[in-house]
Amino acid sequence: MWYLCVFFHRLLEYRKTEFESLAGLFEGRDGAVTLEWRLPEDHHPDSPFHFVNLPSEELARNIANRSILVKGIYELWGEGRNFEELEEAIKSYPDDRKLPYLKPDTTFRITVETFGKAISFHEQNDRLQKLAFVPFKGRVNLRNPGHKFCLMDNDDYGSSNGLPPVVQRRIFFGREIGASDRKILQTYQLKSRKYLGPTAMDAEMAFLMANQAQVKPGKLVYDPFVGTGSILIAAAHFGAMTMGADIDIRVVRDGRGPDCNIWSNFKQYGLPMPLSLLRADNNLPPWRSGLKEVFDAIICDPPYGVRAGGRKSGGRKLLKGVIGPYTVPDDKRSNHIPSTAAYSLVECVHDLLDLAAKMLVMGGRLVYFYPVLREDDSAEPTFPEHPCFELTAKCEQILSYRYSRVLLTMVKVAPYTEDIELAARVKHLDFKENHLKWLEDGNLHSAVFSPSDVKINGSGEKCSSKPKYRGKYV
Amino acid sequence: MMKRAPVHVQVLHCDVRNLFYNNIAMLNLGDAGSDKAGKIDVCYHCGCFYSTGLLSKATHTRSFQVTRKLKMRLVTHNMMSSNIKGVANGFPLLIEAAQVVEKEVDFNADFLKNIFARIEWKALVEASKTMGYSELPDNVESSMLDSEEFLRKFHHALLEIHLEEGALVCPETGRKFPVTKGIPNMLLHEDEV
Repeated sequence: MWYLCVFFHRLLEYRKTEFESLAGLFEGRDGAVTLEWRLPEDHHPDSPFHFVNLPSEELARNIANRSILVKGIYELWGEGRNFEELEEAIKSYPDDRKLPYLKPDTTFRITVETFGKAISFHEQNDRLQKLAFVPFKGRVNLRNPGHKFCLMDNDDYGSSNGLPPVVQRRIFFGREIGASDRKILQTYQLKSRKYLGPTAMDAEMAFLMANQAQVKPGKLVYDPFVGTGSILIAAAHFGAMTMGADIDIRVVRDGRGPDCNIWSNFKQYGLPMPLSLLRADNNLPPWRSGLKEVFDAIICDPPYGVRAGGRKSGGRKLLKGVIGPYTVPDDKRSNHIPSTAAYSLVECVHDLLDLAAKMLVMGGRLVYFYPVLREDDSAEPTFPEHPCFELTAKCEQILSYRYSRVLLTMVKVAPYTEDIELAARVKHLDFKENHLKWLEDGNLHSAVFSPSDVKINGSGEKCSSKPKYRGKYV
Repeated sequence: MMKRAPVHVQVLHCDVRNLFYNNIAMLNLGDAGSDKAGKIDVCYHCGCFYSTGLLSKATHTRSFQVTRKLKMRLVTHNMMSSNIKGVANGFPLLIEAAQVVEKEVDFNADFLKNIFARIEWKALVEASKTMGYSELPDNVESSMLDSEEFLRKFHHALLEIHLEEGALVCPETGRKFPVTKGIPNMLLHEDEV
């Protein structure tokens, strides 16, 4: 059956992918799920209004209630270019679909929504009066209604809403089946969280990542760059068991004191504590050799060297060849602080994919951010590939004029073989031997922060060539 | 009410098992409380909680909001090995336990059944013995997962025994990976990479 799906007008590329991931979660499918979508007449793909074909109302309700970006899913009773057309459509909608929700012993509420324009209470009432022909027999209950209805209007308001103008006005009326619970974003907002780091993941994005990873109770989720635990908190909210590692011992062990650390963040929200936190290097993970296929999902925000740089063990002077091999004296071993070296993005992602290929169960998901430079001339950016993985979704979030980050969702589709393991080990040694070369190759920091070489005259032109209207990138 | 300056009070003993209910600890302070108001900081028996409540002199039994800090569990131990360069057999790591804590954790049978196949049983049995728990059978098969009694024991060994302070020792080289505040430090030295 076709349902009307209305999204929040933000993070546009994330909306359908989140929806489809959740469809997979509730239908018990691991791989990519592609649903049938249709746009209302004259609408731009970035419009918040979409039609989606779903097998059952229960699935629609589950998806909407769990999602972050679905404002509501509706059973459409009618649509039209004006109220006359809408009335005709609602009247011709089959009675057996309508009457059960209009019965005398029910309670209901009708809300009026508009897109791209705010209307006064008076105007809202006017529009409600036009629905008088619908035989509502139940009682009105605004606070806790049994059935919720919504009248959605989107006029030809011009381009002020950030989207290309809609040529024709379109009015929808439908019964709400489910809607996102955005209250959790209030509960988990970063500004009221006790322990934060410089790159703590925003709560909305962390929940989207958890949804992309199809997190559910009983699953084991791992974050190799755990930091202050902001991603694991979202996973734990959805019932997962969590594990995290970080190379910085200060964040995982100490935090800012006994009441301000990762544990206290979990406690603040009454979530079950992580199964374990450890200090470990993603470049040389401590997992035993026979161990594989333990995690159901790996969710992380790798350090890509713009706001925070990655570190790996080995020592920067050692890897540059400035000093020779160094042996730690026996009497210094117990309190020795090993030096670390910069960790290039290419190597970091290589290690992450290798770890995920080995440690994820079949059908398990790897969800992580990958930075992309927004060059004018660059064609479609290329994303990391791995023989064990299939890329099922990529969603861009623009961070600045120079670069954006893309949330990649990869599903493990093939087992981790000895050949793959061998190839990964060869690559690991190559990274170690050519440390400097790799470090320069993937230097995102200078690309993002170096002064622009574009002349002021030319820059106006350059700006306009990048799509940046508000709707798409807010 | 008269306001008193917080005074540090040592809690000498508290029974961890009976202590927690929804993160509220009932501490019977006995003599330790004396007649001064104070702020409880740490339990010297198990060293694991901090309170935010203040004591009053009227009673020695008070409820406190406390922070539960969880420690390295045996499930983590079972997954890790020593990854020092040249070490062929770094698993299982030996445990040097200076402080062991037991914590009640919600029982989740599905999770246990899922993780069972990934656990090196012998290593788990040995590790739990080192930590003072010897109820686990030496040999197991997957049919035992149907027994609630077995699952409870498995659950306890895997998730409820925590290493608070101590070290994990590489069986081949004897290198110690310290565990402090429950966090194992697995980072290698420069000459071990």
